[in-house]
Amino acid sequence: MIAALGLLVGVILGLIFTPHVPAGLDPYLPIAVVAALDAVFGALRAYLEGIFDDKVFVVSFFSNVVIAAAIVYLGDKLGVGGQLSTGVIVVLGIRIFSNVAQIRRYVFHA
Amino acid sequence: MAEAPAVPDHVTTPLLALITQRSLDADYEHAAARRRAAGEDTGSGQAGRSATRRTTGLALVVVAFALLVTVAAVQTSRDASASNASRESLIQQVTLRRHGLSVLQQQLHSAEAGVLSLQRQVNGLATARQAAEARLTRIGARTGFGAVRGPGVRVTVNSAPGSAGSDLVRDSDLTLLTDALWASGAEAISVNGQRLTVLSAFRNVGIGILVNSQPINPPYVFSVVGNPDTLGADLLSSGIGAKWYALKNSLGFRFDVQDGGTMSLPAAAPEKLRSVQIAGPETGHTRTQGDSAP
Repeated sequence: MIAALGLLVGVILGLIFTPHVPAGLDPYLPIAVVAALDAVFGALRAYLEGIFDDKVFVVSFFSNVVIAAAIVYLGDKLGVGGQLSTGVIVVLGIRIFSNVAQIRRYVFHA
Repeated sequence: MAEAPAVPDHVTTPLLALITQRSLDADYEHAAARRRAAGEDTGSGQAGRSATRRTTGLALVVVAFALLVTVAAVQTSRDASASNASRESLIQQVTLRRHGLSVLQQQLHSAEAGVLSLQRQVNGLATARQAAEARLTRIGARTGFGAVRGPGVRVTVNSAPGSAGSDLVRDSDLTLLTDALWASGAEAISVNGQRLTVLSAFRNVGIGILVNSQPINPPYVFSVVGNPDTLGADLLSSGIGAKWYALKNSLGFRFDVQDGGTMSLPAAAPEKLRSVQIAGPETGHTRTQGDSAP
């Protein structure tokens, strides 16, 4: 309930204010979004498994976003930003997929 | 031999399998285990306050997540329109430049064709110029306005010694001799260094004689370019030459014809044309005197 409300509020806020992302942060936004998605799906799975802990969720959310962005930033500085962001997205994508598969098992008992 | 220490699982497991296995953050399990160990015995009052705070944090994080996703989507769509626009303008520029390039290439081709035709014209004009120069040289040699050299004879004429008045050599006498020389096959004549042209005339001024408006003094030396073997004989045999000999004998002129070897004759100074303009095909606007008359 709270989560749905929060999502709605966030989307509406984003659509109303459409804040301008500084050009320097532009490349890190998609990576941050993927990291946030990973944290959210992990939290959903933990919730369905009955071991959800909001503190862990908050911490993992922010640390995922910050670490993903930091890795890509470091890669940019080293000249391998594209490759590193590909690696981050692969790892996070695999985690998202396996978490979603687990969630599917809980929801549909399949 | 000592037994090798047990290798932990996460070292031997393939990376992708490890990622799949640990897709859930291990912290959740740690937290759950901690809670189980604590025995869920937290006080109800503290738990209530902590739960409120935690719910607020959860809601904030969810809001932040939704905001993040929305902003990223909005930004991407905004960038997409911008990059699309720039791409289309680039494509337009490419098309435009290609068009310009083809126009320039056409211009290049036509200019090259022009260069070729101009080159042909230049070649033709150069040939014509060479022909005209050759013709000019020939005409100059013939009319006396070009220097010439060649074999010939030297003819010396002077009055009889002690003669005076009408017995002296006069302009008409020299004219007669000149006509005789032309008739005998002379090709170029100069008198005391004055080249005879088609416009030259001998004129008496007092006791002196002018040729080409320049005074000449006796003895009158004719340098005649022509066939030296036949010139003297032809002078004798021609009718006008016979007239000259008769005159010479009657007035007692001293007359001498010598082989001059190879002689160089100067060119006469060309007179400036003041009224005449060249009428040619390329000077259609040339006006004659009749045209300019009112």
